[in-house]
Amino acid sequence: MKFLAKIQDQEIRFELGTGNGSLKASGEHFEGSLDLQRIYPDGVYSLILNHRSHIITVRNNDELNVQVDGVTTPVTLLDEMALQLEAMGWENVNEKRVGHIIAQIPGLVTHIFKSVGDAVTEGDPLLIMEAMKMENELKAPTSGILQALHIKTGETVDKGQLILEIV
Amino acid sequence: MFKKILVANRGEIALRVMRTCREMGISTVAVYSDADRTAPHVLFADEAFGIGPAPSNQSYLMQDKLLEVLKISGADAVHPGYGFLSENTEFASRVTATGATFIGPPANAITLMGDKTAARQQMIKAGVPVVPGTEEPIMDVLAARSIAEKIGFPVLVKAAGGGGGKGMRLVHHAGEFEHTVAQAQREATSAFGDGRVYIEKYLEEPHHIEFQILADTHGNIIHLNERECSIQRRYQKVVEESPSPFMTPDLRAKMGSAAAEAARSCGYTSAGTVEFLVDKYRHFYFLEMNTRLQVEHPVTEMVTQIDLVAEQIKIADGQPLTLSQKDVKSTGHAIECRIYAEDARQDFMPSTGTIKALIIPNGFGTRFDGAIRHGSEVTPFYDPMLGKLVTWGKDRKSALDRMHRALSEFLIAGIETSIGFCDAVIQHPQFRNGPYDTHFYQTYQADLLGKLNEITPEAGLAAGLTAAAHQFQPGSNGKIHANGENKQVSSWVQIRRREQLQ
Repeated sequence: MKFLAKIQDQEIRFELGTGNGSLKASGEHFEGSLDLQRIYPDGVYSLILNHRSHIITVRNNDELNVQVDGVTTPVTLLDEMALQLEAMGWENVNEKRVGHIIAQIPGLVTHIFKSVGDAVTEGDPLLIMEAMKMENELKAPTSGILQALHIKTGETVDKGQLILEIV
Repeated sequence: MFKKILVANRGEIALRVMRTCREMGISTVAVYSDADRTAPHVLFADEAFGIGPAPSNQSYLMQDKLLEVLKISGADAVHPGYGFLSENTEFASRVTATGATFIGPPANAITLMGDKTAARQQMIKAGVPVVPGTEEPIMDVLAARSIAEKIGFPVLVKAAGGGGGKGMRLVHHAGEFEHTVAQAQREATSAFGDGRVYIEKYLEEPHHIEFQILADTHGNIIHLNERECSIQRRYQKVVEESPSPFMTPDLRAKMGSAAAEAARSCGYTSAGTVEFLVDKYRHFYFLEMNTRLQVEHPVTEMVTQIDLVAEQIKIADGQPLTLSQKDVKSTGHAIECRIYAEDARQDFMPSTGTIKALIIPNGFGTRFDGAIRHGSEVTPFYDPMLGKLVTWGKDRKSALDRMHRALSEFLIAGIETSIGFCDAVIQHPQFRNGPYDTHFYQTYQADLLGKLNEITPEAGLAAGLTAAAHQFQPGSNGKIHANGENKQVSSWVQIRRREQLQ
């Protein structure tokens, strides 16, 4: 299975698979087998990666946190599905146009939670759009006032269409 | 000698005291709250008594319950550890009144040293230097200014009604005195509703250095040299060492005899600690005396080879000290790191949870005084200190190298700890060079905290691969199966429809 892991300013693309009963990893920057053994039941591992030994703890509470040799870091993990969405341009919604929400893929608007003039707080659900056999909830990437809503429930939107504006 | 000792405490210090008791052939009695039923000190003890609910004011601080356990168990002495009731005069007196022995100083010494103003007066009388200043709040600004001139600028204006830096001002010269005092008074009024301020000499590059003393009931008092405790965060010590990199033989002799004098002047017996501030000119000033065993006492034990708890017990039993001052030899160097359950990256916020994996460092010159095990719950009810890691080396460098090694070996999974922060301190060039002062943390905060986030490309790769394998584990058919939700940090959240997954 393909993954993209984001660790601080590193981005690592790799594929995990199995062969001869052991995990294999391959990617742009490395190729090799990894010997990963669980040493305690709750996400504590011994990893021997290219003959270098690490102790790793994975914690998955509100976010994924991984401790490697004593240093804890958040890890963002995108699996195959998320990678496909990303390839279709669904990424960076909040980074590129903070208040202007543009449809990144075509889809059907099934529910709208807010009306024009409503105050929105970052993280508020704005609408649900059905695409790729999945319901996708769009959350407000920023706080502000919903100034314009360019779609209605039941409408389909095209890729690149401006859906709404938060100011 | 005592046959049975009740340890009126919990956590690492309860266990540490019981270890010495057992070595001395003395039976041990533990007390525990509901939260501590399976805590290490309870597992270790010969006898154990439940004393109530988790909050310490309903258990470990309940004198009546402790005295009842004392009676039922038939223990002939009580060791209070540190914290809780260790400096409570009433408790010490009540234990003594039952006919049992309180392992600690006499109640009147605890009372005297517990009162800052009375202790200061006592030290002045005993000829122990105190930080010069006005003892009473300033009534007359001009009179206060002439006192400040006598002490010598810079002076510190401090609020009488509270701490935390509010109402505190540095005055560099006489010309700005009146203006700054007025400013401090206004700030103190708004912060504490109490505008009273007093002045104190400002110490440049202050060191927090303390002396361990032992006093028996026959009038013998010795000191066991110093501990350097200048590495603090949030007014709490994190790293301590002995000897102090700032110490000179001459200063040690002077401070040691001042510490012994401080103890003598209040009729002290048992182990105690006299804390001093030392400025960059190596002038030292009495800060306070702790009338109990100190958290960082193992540092002294490692360099002097003297078991301080055993000494406390023998002194309480009425035995004279077997050592004189000239017998006290300090060998090599010892350093302690306090392992707290806290997150340095979130302003040292305490971290609670279950310890899911534990590897305790070991090896030559390595000691861990703790009371944790795999499965331990770290609750919000008690102090977040999990234990103390102490290393010894033939010199400072080897003690620090050993500490770095021991910290790298330490694994506590499931909660955040100060292990990484301690290592950042130990590895900091300014710390390794020594000497450092109490401003160390503040000055190098960015370096220290920055280091906690440093991740090498190799570690990043290891983190990513392991996280992926953890979330999506290979099944028996060789395929990768989802195991747990894939968390995405994105404004788009996918809601998978159940029927579509089937």
